[in-house]
Amino acid sequence: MKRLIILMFFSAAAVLSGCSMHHPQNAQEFRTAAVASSMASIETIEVKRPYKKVVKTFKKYTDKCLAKAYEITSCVNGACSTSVQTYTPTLISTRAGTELHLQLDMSNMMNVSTVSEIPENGMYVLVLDAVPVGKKTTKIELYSGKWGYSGIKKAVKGWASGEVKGCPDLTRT
Amino acid sequence: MTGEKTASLGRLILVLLLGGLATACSSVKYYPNTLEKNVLVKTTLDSGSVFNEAQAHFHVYSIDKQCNEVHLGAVKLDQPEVEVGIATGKPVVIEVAFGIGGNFFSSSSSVIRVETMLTPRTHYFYDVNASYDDGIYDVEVFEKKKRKSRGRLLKTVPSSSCKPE
Repeated sequence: MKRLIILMFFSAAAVLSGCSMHHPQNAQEFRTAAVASSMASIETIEVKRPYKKVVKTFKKYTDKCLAKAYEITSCVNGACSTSVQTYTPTLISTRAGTELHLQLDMSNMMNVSTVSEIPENGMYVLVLDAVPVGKKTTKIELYSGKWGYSGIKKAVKGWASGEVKGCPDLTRT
Repeated sequence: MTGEKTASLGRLILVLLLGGLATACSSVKYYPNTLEKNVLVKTTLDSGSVFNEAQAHFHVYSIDKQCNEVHLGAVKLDQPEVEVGIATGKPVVIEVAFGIGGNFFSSSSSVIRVETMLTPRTHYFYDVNASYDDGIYDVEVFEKKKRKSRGRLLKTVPSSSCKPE
């Protein structure tokens, strides 16, 4: 339980806040924090798929796969506790570009106390930007913590490239 | 009491204890699965690590006109293909539940549930393709008229979309 909390807490927000005790309050702050933090990851890839197709795929999977709440049961020395994690995705799409934001609310999780303001819908876990590059290529920029959430990162990149057709297991951070 | 008798008694107690534990820890209500088989559940599970071992169950719920659900039971998906019989002509909710962790080696467990509501048609067959591989899961339901055809992919209909009559 402790390991899980530490991993999630640091990888999701504290890491990107650069330990300054300020959680990014919106996607732009999250990007800025990622650029400034050595513990963040910014991946840029180009996929050989038209922008429209990529956006269509994101629309298909965003609600189906990312708008989820999970019960996590953890047991230590025979004592079990259950908490709920709620993920909220936001997809903003125009002809020029698409943004996918993912937030995680774990405010009801035991043993977690926050020292700075948490945005509505929870801390930012990931921000993805997709822009068209010519007719057949789409550029993806993915901002996230360096550690954790590998399943989500793999899924969103795979949706963009068309290589992943399922949903990420959000319970595995 | 001789040493041999003591050993036998010890073994008996151990078996009873393990049996009791297995019963107490198993809260899954098993589906009788006595109806004519019209659903084929094809499951692919990655072995994962010993800490994140995946298991899967196929749950069947009846749902009435007031949208009340009754859990009819679950079938363990411990084979690549498992046949299930579900009632036709009335709405049901079918669900694949992937359970991750929660074994002797893992201190945390989680369950991912993927459900859809449908009204199975008489003389039709349903393929449920369920997979959990390296942190990515997918469940697709196909309806088909002949067992060997591919059929048409059914849109996922969550039970929360049920409207009481």
